[in-house]
Amino acid sequence: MEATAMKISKIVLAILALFAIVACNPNKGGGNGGGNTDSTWSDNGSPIGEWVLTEWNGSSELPMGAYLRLNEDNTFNLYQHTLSVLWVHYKGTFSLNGSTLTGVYSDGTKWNDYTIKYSNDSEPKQIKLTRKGDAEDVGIYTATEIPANIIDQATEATNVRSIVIERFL
Amino acid sequence: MFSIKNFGFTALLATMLVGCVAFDDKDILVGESDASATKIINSSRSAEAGKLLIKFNEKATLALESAKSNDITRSNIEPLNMALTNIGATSVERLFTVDPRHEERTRQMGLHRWYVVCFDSEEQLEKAGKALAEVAEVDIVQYNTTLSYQPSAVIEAEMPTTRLAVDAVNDPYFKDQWHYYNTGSGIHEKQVAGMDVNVKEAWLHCTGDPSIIVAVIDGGVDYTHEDLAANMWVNSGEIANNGIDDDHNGYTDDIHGWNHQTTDGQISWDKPGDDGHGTHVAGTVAAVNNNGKGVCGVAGGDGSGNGVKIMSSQLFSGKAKGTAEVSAKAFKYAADNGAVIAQCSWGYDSGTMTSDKDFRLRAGVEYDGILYFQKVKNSEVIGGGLVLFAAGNDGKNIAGYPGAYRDFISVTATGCDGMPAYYTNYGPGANIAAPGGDQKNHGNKGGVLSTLPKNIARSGYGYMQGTSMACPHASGVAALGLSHAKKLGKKFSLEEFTSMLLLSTDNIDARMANYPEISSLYTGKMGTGSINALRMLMNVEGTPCVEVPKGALAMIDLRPYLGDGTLDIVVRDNLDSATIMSEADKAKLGVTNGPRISNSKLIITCEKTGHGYIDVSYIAGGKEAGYDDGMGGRVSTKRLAVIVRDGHSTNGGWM
Repeated sequence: MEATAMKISKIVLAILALFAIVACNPNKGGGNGGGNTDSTWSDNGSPIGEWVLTEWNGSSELPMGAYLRLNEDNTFNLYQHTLSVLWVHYKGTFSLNGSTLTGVYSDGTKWNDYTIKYSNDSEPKQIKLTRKGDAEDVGIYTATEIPANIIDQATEATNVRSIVIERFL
Repeated sequence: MFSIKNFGFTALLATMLVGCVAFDDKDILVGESDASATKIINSSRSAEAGKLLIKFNEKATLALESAKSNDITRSNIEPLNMALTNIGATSVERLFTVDPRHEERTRQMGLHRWYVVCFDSEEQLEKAGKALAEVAEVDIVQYNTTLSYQPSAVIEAEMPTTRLAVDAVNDPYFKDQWHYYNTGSGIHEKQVAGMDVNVKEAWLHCTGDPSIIVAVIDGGVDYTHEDLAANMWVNSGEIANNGIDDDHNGYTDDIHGWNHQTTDGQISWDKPGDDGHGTHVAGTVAAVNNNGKGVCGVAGGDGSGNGVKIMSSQLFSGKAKGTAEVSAKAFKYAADNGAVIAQCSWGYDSGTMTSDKDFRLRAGVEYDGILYFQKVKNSEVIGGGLVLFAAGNDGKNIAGYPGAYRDFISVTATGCDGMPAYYTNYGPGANIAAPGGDQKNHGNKGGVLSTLPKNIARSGYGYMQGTSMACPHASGVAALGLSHAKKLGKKFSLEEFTSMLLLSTDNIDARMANYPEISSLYTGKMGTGSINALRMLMNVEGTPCVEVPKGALAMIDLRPYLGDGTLDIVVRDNLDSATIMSEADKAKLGVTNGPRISNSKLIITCEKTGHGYIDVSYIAGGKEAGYDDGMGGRVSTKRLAVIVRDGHSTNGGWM
């Protein structure tokens, strides 16, 4: 009986120790890149799909919005209202080199470089894009279907006549 | 006293009308110092004979209401009975039609205390006024100012011969409506592309919503017009022409509105004296779009029946002159029957009143009627009624009242070159500009093209010019903004929405910079800028974001976010910084400098990536806020989101 009790005690202590290690991990989510703990992010996954920006810099209440569709043929469609409050559609190509995600808009403007990580077991799936050169610039994108009304109402970035793009830059 | 006229006319008539000088009663009021004289708020000149508008105190009102008979001496207030008897009064009736559905709020706002006293027209008006003013229970005596009506001529539109290959809509006259979408050619050599209200881009997002009702307080609207009928408001509770007030709103057979002149539901546009002004204005707000007929309206829908609705609250009718009493009733009817915007292309001649206090005290019953409209909430998306007036066509450096009053919106006019129209009023009291046309400088087609009754223009369409034509562009854009808010499920206070409307503008001063003879007159005096429908929808959509580079001193010109650089918006520098940004946001963004405002620029240094908010206070229209003893702009606040990042794609892309 004593041996059994000792075993149980060791197991409980091991579990408590594991919790303590996890709790003390300074990289735990909730700050930059929160939403999932780092233990749930990995370098293995696919960026292909439709994503919505759900968290940026640790905040999920955002004044801006972005939907990103990454296609298998390495083209992308980006629907955003950031500097404009109306939805604007960008397109272009992207490339994935290891864990570095980058791209080029159709007008030749380059993306910033991002380090991409993939959620292991969250549902829906998420990707985390950390901007290279600014560890605070972390965006969590959650898998979603881009709403048809946003696609329909988005103005093409190249067609906006007056204000949506140039006046806010 | 003043004259009130509508503000639309052709180049031919303009010369005559610009010189039209209104009466001024200041000389009559000066020297009246006793208590009873101060109750008389205006002059008897140009006033309707045999009638006085009286605002009683609560005691007298109750006495009149509780009397069992309808005798003029029915109250138990002997001095009142004596005065009424002495002036030969023939009737004492409530001024505003009693709508039982809204009697409680009517009483809360004191409108039930306004009465019309009629008497033998031989009795001297001033003598009668003074007699009633001496009664202690009388608070206000107002002579029923007659509103002079300036006829508006039109230039009939030629039949369209060609249609643009690619257009947002299939309405044949749309190509000539430069005021909606100015391509830079086809009207006049001086026209400039983009000098319009930018509906084409806005329509990609919203074209209207039938729950938004705009009251055209003007001449009667031709509700049978092929390009208006589908967007006319219909009182669903009323059965046409059965002689019964089916919906018990106090008005019998009011199907599309009410004729406050003839006091019946017969909206008129084809009587001798009618000039189509109300029909033209209505078409600019909401002629039916994409129906293959005629013209477009700013908020006329997409052809599927989703345009905003037009209510005709008829102020001018045939040769009958309007009065202060009629205009006040027109606002009350509009408010009680669902309107959220009052479109008013008329007003007093500029300069006849020169301060807000002056207007408020001298326009007693009109002022009360307009305030009532503002306070009534008829839509879930806005907390009250929006009131827009034309600034007037006197070509003066002062806008006409009522629009010049600080709580109302006064609209100035521009031509197809984006410059101030030759006739427009500007300066103190002016809040925002819109296309009104300038046929003197740009020919007939340089006017605004809209709907007209066929008795005025055989084709049913024609050109007019004036701040009368500018105002419905602003009303239409406001209606479009409310429609978009409805679609998005957003709600705004009247103050918030007004602020957004006044910031939905393009720069007008910059256009004038190369023309000293124009800029010297108008710079900073046309309001916040030229209204832009797409900007309106953007403001409704959400809070604009300002990008601030991380770790560097940022000096960001806020004017693009407050109306695209209109120089007459003054970002107030004297605000306590704590009211600009919260301490929590400062900490989150690592603010080490500012935020503060200097020369309309936001100065701030942020050391951390993230976002926060700033609230900027500004004055829209003029360099100082409106105040009782003078005229000025409207003080409003705008919230902006600040996004701090280490850089941003040069094309604005998020990635």
